[in-house]
Amino acid sequence: MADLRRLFSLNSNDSSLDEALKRDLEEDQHPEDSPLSAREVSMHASAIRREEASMQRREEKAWVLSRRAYQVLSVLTALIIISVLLLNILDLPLFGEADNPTNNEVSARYLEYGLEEGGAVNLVADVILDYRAFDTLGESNVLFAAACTVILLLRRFSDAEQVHGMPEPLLLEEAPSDPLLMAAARLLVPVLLLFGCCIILNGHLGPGGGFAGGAVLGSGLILYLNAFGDQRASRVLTFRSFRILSASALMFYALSKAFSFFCGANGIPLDLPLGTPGSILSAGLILPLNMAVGLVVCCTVYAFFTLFRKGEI
Amino acid sequence: MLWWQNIPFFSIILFLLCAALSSVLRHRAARNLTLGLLGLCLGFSAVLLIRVSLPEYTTFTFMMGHFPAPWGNEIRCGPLEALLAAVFSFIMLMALSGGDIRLEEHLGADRENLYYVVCDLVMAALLSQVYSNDLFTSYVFLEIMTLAACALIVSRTRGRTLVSAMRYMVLNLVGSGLFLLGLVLLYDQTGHLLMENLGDAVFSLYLTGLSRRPLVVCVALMSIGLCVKSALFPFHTWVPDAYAHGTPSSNAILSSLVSKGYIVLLMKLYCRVFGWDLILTSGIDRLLMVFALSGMIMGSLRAWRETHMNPMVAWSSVSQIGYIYLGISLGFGVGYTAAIFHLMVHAAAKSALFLTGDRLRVVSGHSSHFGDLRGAGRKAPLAGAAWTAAAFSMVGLPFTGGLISKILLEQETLRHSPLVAAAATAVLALSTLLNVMYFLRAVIQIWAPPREEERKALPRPGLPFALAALGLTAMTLGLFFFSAPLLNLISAGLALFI
Amino acid sequence: MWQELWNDRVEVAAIILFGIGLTTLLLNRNLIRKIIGFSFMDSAIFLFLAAEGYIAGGTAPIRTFSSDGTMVNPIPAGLVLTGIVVSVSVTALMLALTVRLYQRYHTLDFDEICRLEREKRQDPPGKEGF
Repeated sequence: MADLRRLFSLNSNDSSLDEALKRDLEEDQHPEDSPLSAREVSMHASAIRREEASMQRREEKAWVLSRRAYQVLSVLTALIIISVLLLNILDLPLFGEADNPTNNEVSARYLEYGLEEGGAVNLVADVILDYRAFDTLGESNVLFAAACTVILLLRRFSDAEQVHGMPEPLLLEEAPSDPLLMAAARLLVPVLLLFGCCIILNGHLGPGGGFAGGAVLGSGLILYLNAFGDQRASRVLTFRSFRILSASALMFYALSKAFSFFCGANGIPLDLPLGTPGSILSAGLILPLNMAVGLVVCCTVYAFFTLFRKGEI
Repeated sequence: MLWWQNIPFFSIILFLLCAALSSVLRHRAARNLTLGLLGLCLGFSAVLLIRVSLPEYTTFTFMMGHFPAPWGNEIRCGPLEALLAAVFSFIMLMALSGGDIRLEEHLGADRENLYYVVCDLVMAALLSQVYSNDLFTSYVFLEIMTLAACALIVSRTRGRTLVSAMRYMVLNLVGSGLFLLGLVLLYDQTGHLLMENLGDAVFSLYLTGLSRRPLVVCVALMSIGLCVKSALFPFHTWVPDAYAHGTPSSNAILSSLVSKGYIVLLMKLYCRVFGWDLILTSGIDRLLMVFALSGMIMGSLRAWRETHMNPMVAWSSVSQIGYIYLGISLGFGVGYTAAIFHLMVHAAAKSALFLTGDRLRVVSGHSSHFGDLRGAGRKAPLAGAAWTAAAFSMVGLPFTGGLISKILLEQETLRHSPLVAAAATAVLALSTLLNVMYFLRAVIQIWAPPREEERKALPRPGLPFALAALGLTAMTLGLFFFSAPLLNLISAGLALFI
Repeated sequence: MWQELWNDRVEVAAIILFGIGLTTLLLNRNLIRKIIGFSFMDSAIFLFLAAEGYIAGGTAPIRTFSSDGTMVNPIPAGLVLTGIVVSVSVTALMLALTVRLYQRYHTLDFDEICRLEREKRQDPPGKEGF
């Protein structure tokens, strides 16, 4: 609870700021620069403090005034934007009408022929994984880009290397194993994993799909990690296996869809077996693509959790 | 479908595949793969450019899948798109090969390959912005570019880059939110996501005269969203910190390429979706012109006050983006031609300034303060010459590409109303004067005799750096000497761009 | 006018939520609250988009749920799915940046962080001006 409160409050204790200031002065120089002597550092730190004290009163008044002006301006801008958009709604098509512009020949074809052309009973799965598969490929890569950036930011360095200046990422202490949690996890984790797989495999038959199923799978793995600790969880998924799984799933998606796009554009017929609608093995490429997407999402969701928690996967 | 018509599609897909593959390769392999693919893309884009330009200018569409648009996705390519793809791959190739290969000290030994993953994603997103014919696909790849560019900013993780990355993300996400809201409203009124169908639907809605306000709201939202993302004044506050403190390759890629993707998308929107009549009715062109003119002055004034090289170059980016937006606001035709030409000039010059500026900093005892840069050009003549050529291009001196775009902009402003002509001419003159002041001041400082004659052993530049510096300088000069055929190509491409 | 706004109440709610998100983003100095503001804005846009596809009396676009009746437009559902994934990715990235910033500056107040950064950046006295 105290942690939560700290999250929502602003400053921590001020005494650490001076140390932070001193450290920052030294750190911000380039590695090959000659380091500042301790005397220069303390001279400069005290010079900054003197200057700050003398200008503080003037600055504070000006700052409070500009802060007020900024707040008033922000609220006014938001109000103007809301009112313009609300007035705009009056000119937009009505909610729920069947003859809205959005219900045109594009959606009509999806609704009428989606089952025959895509093979999936879930027409939304047809839309995102068959008709507009390129958008979904892009979307998987958005998740991948975010995962790469979070790894760049949060992954701990091994002991052998030391990047100049930056302190180590946060390492939250592993909570002692809780028997209640472990008992509940023994029941829940298999159910969660099974449920996630079920959502993925039935993505083309009902609501669900790779993204939803992958999120459930990921949360099952997160519960396992929380209940049974880092040691056992790292046997399930390591950094290396995370990279290989994500990369291969993405490459599978890109290659299979690239082949499909290439054939389509060049007029090469590609008769994928569509199966009988309603059975699990149907809908051509949609099922494998759902599985690939589910794998990527599961790995990424789990990776986000472990990177935030301990800086490692 | 002819074999070369598959090139746009393969360019995008290969970069996406390469990104996924690079995440499991080691540093060297990832770097070589990325550089090789960039070279391949450059070669194929050049072939594509020749094929769509000779014997006459043509354009074609590529159906992504078995369903024609608007039911499936579609990409489109003409002379302009091929030219932009070639230019972007060239700039990215030069930026990556000329930058610092030793990323361990910035990133950590097992993360260097992620840098190349991110560069591949930026390139895939750029190509998609250039070729795409579908609005929602453009939005998705816009987001890829935003996230990948954030990774480039924090590639050198210092306090300063973290703060600038946060500022960058906040502003860019506001821009994305506004763009998506505009897209949603546009879809609500038209029911289409393919740009050509959207253009027809918007035009027929505009003609009825009934539904102008929602269209104007869409134009405003999407334009402001993209202006925020491409750092037009007054949305430029994140630029100087984000552009100036990463690795040299990151600085070059961010300043030359990332903002250009958004500008190309904006131009595509105005040409294919909204149409110039709606733009004039909404008055967004006047707003863009005001922002552009203010940015040209503000950027130059702040650049003049800087005492370190990289922030000065970053502030001048703010000013140069103003030039591009001035071209856009001047209207379809010569204005857009000037905007695209200046886009290429700026891309070449900024990459050169950041890459060679880093080398000048290294030979001056790792300081980028102008006092310490004295004589740096004499210690590193190739870098000094390339920096000088790029600086001249930004100023607009003869024999560099910058002169052509300034002349075009000035010619076009004279065809508008007297007020516009007077204001734009005054601002162009003042901005050029300011550019001269801070760039030539820096050039003189670089070539002045160094203070002490020390014979310290200076690290020699590698061959990739030398090739990158020469390549970018050649592009800067080539844009001047080949300006006539290039301008013809751009105008013809724009005519087919609609 | 009010009758029409009431009929379009889902879209009105979406716009108001967007405004709340924007205000939260602009007015709060705490980084976590800014990120929550973004979440509001994105959710609002998705709500608006989902509302666009609705047809009164229609069912979900899944063939077995309704073989002959009206089905709602499947396109907005697909677009919202993509949008949600993008929103999740962006939130994760912003939170990672927040964690690093907190660890560096020991505060979540963005104005305070910028102030600390600006102070650190002043050139030490004695460096030659230009």
